[in-house]
Amino acid sequence: MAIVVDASATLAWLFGEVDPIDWLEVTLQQESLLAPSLWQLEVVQAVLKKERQHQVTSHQADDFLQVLDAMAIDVVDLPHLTLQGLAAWSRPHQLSTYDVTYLALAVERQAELLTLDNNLKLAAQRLSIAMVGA
Amino acid sequence: MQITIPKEMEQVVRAKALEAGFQSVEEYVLTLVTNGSGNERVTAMTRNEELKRLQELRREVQLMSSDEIVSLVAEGRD
Repeated sequence: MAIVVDASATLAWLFGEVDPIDWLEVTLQQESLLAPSLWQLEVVQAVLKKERQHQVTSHQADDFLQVLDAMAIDVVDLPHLTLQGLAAWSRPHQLSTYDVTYLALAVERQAELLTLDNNLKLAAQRLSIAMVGA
Repeated sequence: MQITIPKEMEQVVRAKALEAGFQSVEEYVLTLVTNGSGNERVTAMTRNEELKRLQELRREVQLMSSDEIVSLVAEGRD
């Protein structure tokens, strides 16, 4: 089964307190990782924010992004939803439209979801979307 | 069994084996014969190198809690 990764889960590989190396080593070999194109914007935005706040150097930021670029994460088009459809996904779960993108992709691809975001986890549970580590 | 590579091909095959991350020509040729390609090995090596680099980078920076990471993403959306 494929895994949809969101920006929070990805950033946790870079900056999170839990060491992800063993998990990544196994998962990158055995599973296919997916992300909507939005994921690229969110991840780079967060890394650049840390750079602007002098929490990482530009060299470190580039290296982090290079590591992610080298990972076999399949960046795919946003799920095909009408504007009204997007709102309909968002409303009942009080999710941002950004989060809906990850959720809808997981449904569309029948994939598991990997996120640190509790609201997104809760919505995924309600929709019976399998979650990694759940 | 011993693999014999024609003299005129030896340099080319050796270079390709090194490029694909193999230390010995024999191992490279056997992988080609059994798997059809040495690319998987290259991918695995690249992945290991990148993960090693990630481990080093993580040691250089201050780590964040899950809540801090979720907030960082949310700030990017504002």
